[in-house]
Amino acid sequence: MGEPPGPVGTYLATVRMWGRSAMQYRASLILLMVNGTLIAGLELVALLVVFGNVRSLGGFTLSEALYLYGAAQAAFYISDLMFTGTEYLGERIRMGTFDALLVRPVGVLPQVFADQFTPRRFCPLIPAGGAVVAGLVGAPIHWTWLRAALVPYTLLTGVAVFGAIWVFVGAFQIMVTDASEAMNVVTYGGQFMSSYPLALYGRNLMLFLTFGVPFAFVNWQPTLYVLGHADPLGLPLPLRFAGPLFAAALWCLALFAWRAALRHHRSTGS
Amino acid sequence: MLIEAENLSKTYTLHRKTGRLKRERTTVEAVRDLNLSVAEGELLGYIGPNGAGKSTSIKMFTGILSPSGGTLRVAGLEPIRDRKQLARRIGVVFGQRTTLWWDLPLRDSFALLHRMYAIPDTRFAHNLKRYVDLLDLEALLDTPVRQLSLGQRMRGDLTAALLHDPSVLYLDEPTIGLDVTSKAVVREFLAELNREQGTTIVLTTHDLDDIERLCRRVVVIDHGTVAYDGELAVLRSRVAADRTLVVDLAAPGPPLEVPGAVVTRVDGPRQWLAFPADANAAELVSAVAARYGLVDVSIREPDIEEVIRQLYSS
Repeated sequence: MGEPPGPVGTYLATVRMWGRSAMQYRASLILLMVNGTLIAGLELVALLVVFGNVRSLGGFTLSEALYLYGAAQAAFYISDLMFTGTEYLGERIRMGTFDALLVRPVGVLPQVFADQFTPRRFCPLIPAGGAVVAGLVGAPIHWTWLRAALVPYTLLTGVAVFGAIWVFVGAFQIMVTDASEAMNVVTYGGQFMSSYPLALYGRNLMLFLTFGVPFAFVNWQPTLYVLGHADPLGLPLPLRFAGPLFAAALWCLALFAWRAALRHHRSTGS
Repeated sequence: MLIEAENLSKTYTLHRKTGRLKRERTTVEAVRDLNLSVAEGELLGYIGPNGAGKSTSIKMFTGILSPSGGTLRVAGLEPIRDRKQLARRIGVVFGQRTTLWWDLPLRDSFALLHRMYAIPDTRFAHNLKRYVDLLDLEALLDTPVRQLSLGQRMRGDLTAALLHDPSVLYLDEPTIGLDVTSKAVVREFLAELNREQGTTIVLTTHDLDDIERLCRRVVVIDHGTVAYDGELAVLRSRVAADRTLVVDLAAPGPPLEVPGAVVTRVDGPRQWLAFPADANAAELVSAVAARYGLVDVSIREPDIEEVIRQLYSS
């Protein structure tokens, strides 16, 4: 007798079911996707309008800002695409349907990640991808192998960091069942912060964001290197590449929090 | 023994805000010192009033909740520690909360379970055919679940819970809201499953008919512990809850006077008469018919809540 699928298999099988569910309403899905892409694109237009008035913002040119913005957006929305199911956990617990996930012979977290998956989550990736490409083409980057490698590296680190935060969201949802709204302050707020040049926010805030919240590693440090900018804080160079360590540490903490939350849920059953 | 619970208990700690900063801790014993053993092949009625600890204990049996005390073994496994292994040995039907995929055809939900439970292909094909035949689902396999009636959906949920050949099937209110025909189909199916396959069934229900038609053994849970464990007939005889005769008269009138019965309610031409469980209903009906113009009659058995209430007042 075979073995039930591992985390990835469980995740993909569940995503497929949700994706196919969404496809049952094809016309409405297409309309929503066009709409979602346009709305996400509007933010990009706003950025262009700002740069219509000023040459550079916090020392970044339009192309550089486009890359910075696009890379952070892409990282966030890829994580949104993959992990955002944790946001629906509170509702599941309230409806009593979370139990159904616990009586299956597969991991709970992969099922939760895949929850309510819809192809609509691809929409914001279209303008974000466009901004990345436009930024990379337009910015005067002195390309080296390292810089080229740093582009996907930045993206992956970002996805990993945001992904860990989605796990925290899930753990938090279990602990405070209806806290979906409260947690948006952290995720969507953080996404906004890391999209704009950190230099704008002042030194103390920068320090906080660099060390307190690991969002900065998502694209600030590696992007400075790709774009050939000096770090205004003068942090040692290796720190610019510490993103994966941060991501790994964050995942450890997140999984620990998740397990603790699940244990709590099982002892309270609320 | 398939299920073996010894002094099983579950305590919830509730925090209640009593002041601006003060919080009061209260503990609630949802289950206390519950002892239960269920042998392979039993069909057990697991009943009790709401809030008695029924669902808390079932959640412990299925590995959803962790016990706060006592020991628990299901199919030789420790439910919380061996959750995934246990999941392959049990089937759960959550009554009104379907686990089928709402917008997809039944077939798709079954295909997902095929994969999740790693059911060997031949086994899956065999089981699917068997349950689809027994539950008459063939014509519905390609219908999205949202378009199914409650009864059809329940048949789908039953199949979904059984495709991996579980040793024990937990059912939570499987007949609630179903019409008479669907109820009969579900009951007949469960009886056959238990008889032919030897699947152990733990049935939670408020419908005394379910229990009566299916279960020889009944476990009554009250105040978090086993209040009664034995044959249904014994429970019934121990609790002399009245039955109710509902009569529709030709015309409204004063409360009937019939020996051996007491009118408990009058609503126009309809009257409700309570009579002892061991009295002969046929004699009572003919006594009423002899004196009054009778249009229609029906007899209601005491419902499970009433039997349990009686069990406690006596």
